[in-house]
This record gives sequence, structure tokens and C-alpha cells, in this order.
Amino acid sequence: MNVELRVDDLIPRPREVLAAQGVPPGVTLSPRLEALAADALALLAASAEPRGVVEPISREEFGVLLAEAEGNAHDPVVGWIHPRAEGLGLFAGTLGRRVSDEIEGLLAGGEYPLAVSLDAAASRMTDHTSRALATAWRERLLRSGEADGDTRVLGYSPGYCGWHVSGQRPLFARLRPERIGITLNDACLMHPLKSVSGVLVGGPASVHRFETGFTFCDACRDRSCVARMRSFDDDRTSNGSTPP
Amino acid sequence: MSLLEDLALALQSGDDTRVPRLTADALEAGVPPQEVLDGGLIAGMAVVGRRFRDYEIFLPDVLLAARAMDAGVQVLKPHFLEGEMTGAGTVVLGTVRGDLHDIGKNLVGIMLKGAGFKVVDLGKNVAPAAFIDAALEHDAQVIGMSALLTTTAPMMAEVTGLLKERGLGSRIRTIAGGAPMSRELATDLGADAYAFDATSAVERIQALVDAPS
Repeated sequence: MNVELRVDDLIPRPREVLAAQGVPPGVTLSPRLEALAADALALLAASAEPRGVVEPISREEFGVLLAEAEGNAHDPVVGWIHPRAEGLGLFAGTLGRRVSDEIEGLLAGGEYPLAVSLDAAASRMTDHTSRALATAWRERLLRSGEADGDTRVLGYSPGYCGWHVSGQRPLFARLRPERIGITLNDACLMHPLKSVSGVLVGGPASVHRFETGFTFCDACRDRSCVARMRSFDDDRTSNGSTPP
Repeated sequence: MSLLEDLALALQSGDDTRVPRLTADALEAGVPPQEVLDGGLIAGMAVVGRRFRDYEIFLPDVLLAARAMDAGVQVLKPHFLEGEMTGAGTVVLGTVRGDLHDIGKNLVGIMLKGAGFKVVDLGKNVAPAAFIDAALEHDAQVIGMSALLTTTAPMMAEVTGLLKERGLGSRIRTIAGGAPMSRELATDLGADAYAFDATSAVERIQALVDAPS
């Protein structure tokens, strides 16, 4: 299914943009930094063309698709999680080409501060796109009776948590994100760069909980999985989807 | 306060209107161009780099300062002969073949310029031989390679292998960076150094340039 995405719903807040560039919350901002974040967000709002798609896949089919990636860890997180899922959906989302073109143009013109701020803002917006797709998938699971109010939807992507990035190939072969303008190169890199893909896993919070003791966790710099799991406890007003 | 101190302070605050004006003022007052560069612009960026490392300021502040420095350098450029502004050394940068992520590589380039290096940025999706050809053409001491994907990082081994094959390994040093990279992986891929982020990249590259070949 194509998911309707609106720029206004996905645009990050100025503090998020600055946080993505290492500015901690609570720091008093100079007028220059405030203006920079505002300019980046205005540019993002004018250039982003978010599009997304989600398609159901059975647990068995996903198991086959996962195994087709070359170089997976022997214990990828999603391989452990998906057999217990209530509903799986392959997903892809993108902000479109214009954002990347803007970033490149700014860099070429020596406008580093705005280019990097726009890049950071676009990365945050891509995360929000994932979240919007997860929300849409959860709503579909609820409508079809495959999920209930306790269902949480999280996204898992090739390139993370033991699922090798080459997993993009079978994912693209099945989902065909080319229809929303995303292509894959030989190195399994998505174009436009501000794109996201993977599998949305629906299930109770317990399905998504794991100890970070997998073989690949030691080398991981991200550790966002911990925050994702913690959000189950912290977010009392959650609609049940958590950003991939 | 001297003109150069004033210039360094304007640069630290990222004021890209005052920096070119103060640069021009300094030249007009008879300060030699090299002194304006070293004592004003590079001195100002050195403070910015230190404050960034100490978490007193943040990446956007550094980038504003870098843009201001660029504006000052544009004023200075006509006062130097071609090739005279190489400063700290010359570095060839690029994202390896197959990879199109370049924001991290761009940050390294910006920081290097701020530290007085000449940067030859080859962009993204750079073929192994192109790194070496550019390093020879520009007489660079260091090649900096970036990759964001585990699938593209091994391309760095082709660059280091080619350098070795052509007997250039001791003349041109290499440094690797990017999300999938670690010190161990960089060593496995034949790189002379590894940088975790843009700030450490400048320090490591300086060390590579200073090290006897």
C-alpha cells in the first residue's frame, strides 16, 4: 500500500536538528544557530517530497528473504524476532531527490553550515518517515484484526543489528520501491540518500525486547535499540509505533 | 586589540561579513599575507578547534567559523603566488567507489582547510586509481578515504594495495574513516591511520604529515 505522507507531519523541530549535530538540549543558543536551524527547516519543508510504501509479508516468506542476504551475522536480531511477530510488512520511504540536490548545491557553494544543518534535518525527517510508516502499518494491522491495542510496531533495516546490507537486494526485488523513486546501486546503497527501508514488525513489546549481547553489538556505535526498548516503558501516550 | 586578534575573534564567532573586511584591513595596514593567514585566520580556527574538542562549542559553530575563514581566504588568495598557500600540507579526500555518502568526508575537508591544509576533494564514488593519480598530481602527503557501508569499505584495500604496488606506500600515507570503520578494520584494509570523527581526522593527518616517511 502507498502511504500518504505530509511534510508538516514529518518536519523535525529546531532542537532536533541541532541535537543531530551534537548540540545538547538545554544549551543556550546563539541567534546565529537559531537562524541556521530555522533556515534549514524552511529549506527542508520546501524541498522534501516524502513518499512511502508498505506491503505485507508472511513470517515464512520473510525468513526466506532474510536468508538471501549474503553476510548476515549468524544471529541477526530480526531473525530472532520475526517468528514471533503478529504482522510483518516490508517498507520503504524517501524524502525524494530535491533534498539531496539542495544539500549538494549548498556544499558546492561553500554554504557548509546550512548544508550540514539541512542534512541533519533531513536525516531526522527520514526517521520520522519511518515512524509514520510504522504507524500506518499498525493501523492496518488493527483494522484487519491482526493486532490489538498493545501491539508495538518497530522497523528493522538491512545494515543494522546483524542483517547485512546486501539484504536490500531481496527486499527491493520483492517490494519494488522504484515505484516511489528509490533505487539501489551495486553496493546496496539507496538513492536518494534520504531514504529508509526494512521490515516493520508488529507485536507486543515483549517481541521486541532483547539483550544487547549479540555478536555484532560490541562493534555497534548506534545503540539506538536500547532507547527504542526503553520507549516502551517511558511513552505512556504512545500510539504503539516507535521510530525504526 | 590588534587587527589580527580582532580578525581571529571575528572568525571564532563565525562572522563572515567582518572576517573578509578585517582581512582586507590587515593587508591594507601592511601586515604580510602569510601573517594574516597564520596569525588571524588559522589562529582563530585553532581556537575554534580546541573549543569544539572541549565541548564548549558545537559542530554548527565550527561550520560557521569555517565559512567565515573561507571568506577571509578569498581576500588573501590574490596576494599569494600559485601553490604558495599549501600551509600544513596537502590531502586528497574522497568517498570510495560504490558509496555516495559524503557529509562526513566533507566535514573532514572543512576542518582540514581550517587547520591550514590544502584539500583536494575528489567527491564520492571515487575509483581507487583516481585517489593515487590525484595525490601524485597535487603532491599530496595523505589520502583520506571515507565509506559508510560495510559493502564499500573493502574498496579502501584496493587503494592501499595500489599504492603498495606502485611503491608509493611510504611517500603517500592513508587514513580511513566512516561508520563501519574501526582501528582494526582500517589496519586490515592497509590504511596507515584511522579517524573516529572529523576532529580526530585532523589530528591523525597532522601526525601522518609530521611523521618521517
